[in-house]
Amino acid sequence: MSAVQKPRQDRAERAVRGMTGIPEGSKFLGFIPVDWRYDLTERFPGLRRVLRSRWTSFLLQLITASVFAVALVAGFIGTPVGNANLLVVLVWIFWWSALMLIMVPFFSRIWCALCPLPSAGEWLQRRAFVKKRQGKGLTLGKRWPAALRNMWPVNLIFLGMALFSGILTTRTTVTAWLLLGMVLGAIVISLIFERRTFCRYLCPVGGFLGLYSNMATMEIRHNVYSVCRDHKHKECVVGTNEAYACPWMEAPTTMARNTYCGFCFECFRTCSKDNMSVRLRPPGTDLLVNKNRGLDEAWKAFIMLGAAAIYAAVMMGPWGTLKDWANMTSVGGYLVYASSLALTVMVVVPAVWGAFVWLGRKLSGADVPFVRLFTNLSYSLVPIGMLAWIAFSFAIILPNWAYIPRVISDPFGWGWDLFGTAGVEWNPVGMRVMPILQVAALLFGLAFSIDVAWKIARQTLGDDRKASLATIPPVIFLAGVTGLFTWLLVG
Amino acid sequence: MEMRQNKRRYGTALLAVGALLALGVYAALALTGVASASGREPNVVEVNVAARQWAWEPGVIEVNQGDLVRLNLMSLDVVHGFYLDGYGIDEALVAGQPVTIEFVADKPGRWMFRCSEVCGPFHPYMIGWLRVSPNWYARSSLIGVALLAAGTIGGFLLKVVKS
Ligand code: SF4
Ligand code: SF4
Ligand SMILES: [Cu+2]
Repeated sequence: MSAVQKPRQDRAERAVRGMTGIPEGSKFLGFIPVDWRYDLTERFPGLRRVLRSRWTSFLLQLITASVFAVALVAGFIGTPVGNANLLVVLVWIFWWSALMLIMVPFFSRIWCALCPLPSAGEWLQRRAFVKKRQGKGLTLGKRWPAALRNMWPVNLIFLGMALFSGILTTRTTVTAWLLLGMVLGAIVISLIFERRTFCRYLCPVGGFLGLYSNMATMEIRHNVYSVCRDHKHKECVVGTNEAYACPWMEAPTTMARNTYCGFCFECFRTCSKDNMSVRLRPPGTDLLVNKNRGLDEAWKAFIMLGAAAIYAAVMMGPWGTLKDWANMTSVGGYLVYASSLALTVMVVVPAVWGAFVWLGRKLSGADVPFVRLFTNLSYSLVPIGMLAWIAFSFAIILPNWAYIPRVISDPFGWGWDLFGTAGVEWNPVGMRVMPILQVAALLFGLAFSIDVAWKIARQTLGDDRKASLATIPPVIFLAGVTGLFTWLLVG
Repeated sequence: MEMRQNKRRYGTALLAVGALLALGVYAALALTGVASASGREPNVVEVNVAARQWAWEPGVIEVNQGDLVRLNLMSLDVVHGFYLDGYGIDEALVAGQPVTIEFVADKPGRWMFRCSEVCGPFHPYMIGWLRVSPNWYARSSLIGVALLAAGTIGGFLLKVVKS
């Protein structure tokens, strides 16, 4: 081995295997090496310079915040017809599809680098827009209560919102109030609590962004492990005069998963050794990280999987009654709908999945505690869950893309034509390709989920024979789920 | 041990590639219509379809490939539109005025018909299903699911038996 290869070797070993419990030589689907990495910041030094600049984050946030402000105004004073209103189209058609089809799968939590919701709170808290200001910020700087430092608050807040999704995605003022409420909530939280407490522990979007960014093909990680190890004054953790300690309360030096990294790039600015990197990687590597797994995140996976099926049924199904229920046409119907949704995602999905995991544990005769196997294996629901959302999102953007150029020219629905695109015909594209895309997405999700389940079982049980037996029932569950989505989306 | 693991990985890779190939051939056959030559006499299927805020009645229409489909459409409340995915048919429906459309269901699969005139909040979710059998998309998916599941489970059992 030559001296040149040495740091690369060190990097791969420490970053992927040594710290995360991923067995050496693992390959996804039998041929994609789990420890493959392509370091973008090393390859393109210009990128590092851009990320190191404090202006990058500010300008990105400024642009989205300006667009968001106009959209919010449209939500309040523009037409109440959702499809003709900038806010609803921007959020529920454009943002949603961009998030699920591009941002999360390829760029992890890049959205959080652009998100306008916490900007006001953060600027106030720091008493600064760009350059770091010395001295105390405008905040009590309290730490979030230890008992709540998990995904449960987000799970409940998300569920609360999910119950109203029919109303939310179709009523301009409801969307406007919700988003305004989130901005105000983020401000209040940032005045009381330290850093991005709102984003990490309370944002309902952040929960599934975090979970599904485990599938992303991009990551921010430390580069050469020994550099971090030997750097006694960990600037990325405590901050410097010029840049802030990780706003997301992560330790960039040991961070092993994308879940709570908001792509804010502060660690590129604090690290005097330039030892942070943006890297490409195979999707799903974080799911194999045998560290920090928990029931809170497992439940996030159940909620998202269940919600995908229910939304597909309500929004793309042929059942008028279901639509009436979700639209709160009658109180009784709505209560039936809301309680069955809550029950399904919080109880039914985990219970059925639990039964299959339990069966697998029995079959294998494994002696690890049930809860541990259950928690760990639940991460194998992430690929199929995410790909189901992707399949669902094709059916949002392809038929409805035309609303986007329309509202750009006529944001308030008042008959303007700013850019000459107000008259674009509503005209679904790719309808004949869509089912093929959806089927491909679902099958890829299933194959990936099966593979992750097997790898996690082997990691948890430490024995090929036991792992094989323990994975059989979960595979049946995963196949069943994929069958269900096939029926809902193309059947 | 290392050898065994490598073999297993090749096994998985082969299985995946094989499944994909099979699916590809199947999809190609299905799409070119070779696999669907059935020789069955086409029927005329006539259905009365009502549109209301925000659903279709009936919500599901089932026909066979090649059938002549005649839909008597009528809106019961406001102006709706009938757009059929995959077929590109688009017809405005003024309340109370019946509209009849006819087409040959030559594209198999499950297609959504959706409202094409903004008709209120739930307009984007005003969707029905036209099932044109045989649904190659769904069948391919289910075959893929079965192959993947059976393949892995078979592989697991083999491994257990061997050990
Ligand atoms: S966590 Fe939520 S509020 Fe914070 S940046 Fe991400 S999406 Fe925006
Ligand atoms: S500072 Fe923290 S949240 Fe920001 S990019 Fe670095 S690790 Fe991620
Ligand atoms: Cu309509």
